[in-house]
Amino acid sequence: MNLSRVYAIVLRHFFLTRHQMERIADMLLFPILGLVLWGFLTSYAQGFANSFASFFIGAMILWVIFERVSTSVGVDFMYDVWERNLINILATGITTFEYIVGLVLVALVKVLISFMAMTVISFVFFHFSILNLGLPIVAFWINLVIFAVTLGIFNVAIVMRWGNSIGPLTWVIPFVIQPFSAVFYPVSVLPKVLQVISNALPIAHVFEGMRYTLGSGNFDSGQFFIALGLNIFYFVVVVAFFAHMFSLVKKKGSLVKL
Amino acid sequence: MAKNSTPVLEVTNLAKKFGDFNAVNGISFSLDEGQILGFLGPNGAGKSTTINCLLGVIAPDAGEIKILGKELFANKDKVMKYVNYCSAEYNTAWSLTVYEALVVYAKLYGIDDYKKRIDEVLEEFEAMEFKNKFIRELSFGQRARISLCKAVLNKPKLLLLDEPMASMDPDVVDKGIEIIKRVQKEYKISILYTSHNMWEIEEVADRVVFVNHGKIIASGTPLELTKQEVDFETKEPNLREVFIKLSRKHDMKGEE
Repeated sequence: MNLSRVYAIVLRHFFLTRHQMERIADMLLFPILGLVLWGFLTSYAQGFANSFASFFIGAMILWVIFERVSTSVGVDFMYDVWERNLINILATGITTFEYIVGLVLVALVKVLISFMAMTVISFVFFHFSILNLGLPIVAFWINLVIFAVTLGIFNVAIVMRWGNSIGPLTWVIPFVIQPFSAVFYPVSVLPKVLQVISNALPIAHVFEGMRYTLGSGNFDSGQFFIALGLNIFYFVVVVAFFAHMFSLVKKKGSLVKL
Repeated sequence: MAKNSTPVLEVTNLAKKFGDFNAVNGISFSLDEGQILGFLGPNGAGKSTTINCLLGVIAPDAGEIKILGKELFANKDKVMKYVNYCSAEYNTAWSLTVYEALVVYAKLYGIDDYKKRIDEVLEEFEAMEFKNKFIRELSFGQRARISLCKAVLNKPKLLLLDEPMASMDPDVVDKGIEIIKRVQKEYKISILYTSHNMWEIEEVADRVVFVNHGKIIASGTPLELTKQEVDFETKEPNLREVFIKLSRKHDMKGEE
């Protein structure tokens, strides 16, 4: 892997972010506004059910990690498509692996900034610190980021293959899977048939694990390893799908028409 | 020019079909060090498909592409460090300033002293005044100059120019050609140059390859082709007439 080329991709998006208010808003303003709105609502609801606010705010913060990383990878790829700049990048020596690593690094930096801002805001307004989860938060991060990156690569593959018109799916897919992800309620609340879908999603196990840790102070290693196993499976499948799509668009000549 | 033992570019029996359409139909040509090859043909002749194959962004169905003696698709990450291109079709990063965009490309090409090199190319293409302007704010001609700056940033051994000065006024084209010739001599760049402006090709090309329906139908120096296709007695190249004659002759053959 050539680090200079990976750095070039990171730099490209750093420069873009510096000039575009909407990217800064996407990174800071929207996560904070969401947290403040739902945080106050749940603080109010706290009166009806103990621990509800901490479950909800914790879930909000972890959901942002997943949602922002997955959309960032897809959207940053689309920026190069929208600006007709993709071929300028791919016609250098850069490998697709280096390009994707660059996009993932950009997403991680952005989500780290969102995470830090949300951590501070949740502490100041709601006296809740996500860091109280302790070391398990690292495990939650790992599984959330792997699944988000997997979804991000999937988004890149489908935009590459079917073009810009399918781009909005990048924003839609996380919200399609959200009801099954046990973000704000446990899997057990869902009807049996929907629980099957939930159990097949790594992030459902992450959020179940988070609620367990917030409730008991202990770490559920079973949920962690199930999530990790599922993540590895989906990652391998999606990387194979991406490789197939990339080879296909080069054969069809559609990469240059994006 | 003395022929180097290994051509900078060697294309052998390159073929690419899109469905039933033969975009490139078994073409072969080579390009030596420091040579400029005009790559001509009517719209849809297969020029851009060939160039996209040379950039590794379209996979050919058959044939071989060797750049600096190495097979392109097996060595893309190593070989493309020495290749660059400029096309009217693709923008340089639209939302960045000229300097930022060139920094990104410099990193992609692994250029060490990139700040110095960026200043050099901006000076060469008389574009220093645009250094801190957004690319989207520049005029068409100014953007084309920035694309050319990007194209020579890595001092490429092989430069692919796909109608780099399309839709520009003659004055800008004239200046652009002058700069390209100067830079090409300085770095001994081999250039594959496509254009629909025949005067542009007459000005720069050592040799010309004429393609139609994905096949090479004529090749030679501009003067040789003019003598062969237009007027045996002539002392001046006239690629415009050659272009019209070859396109029509070949299309009529195709109709038969």
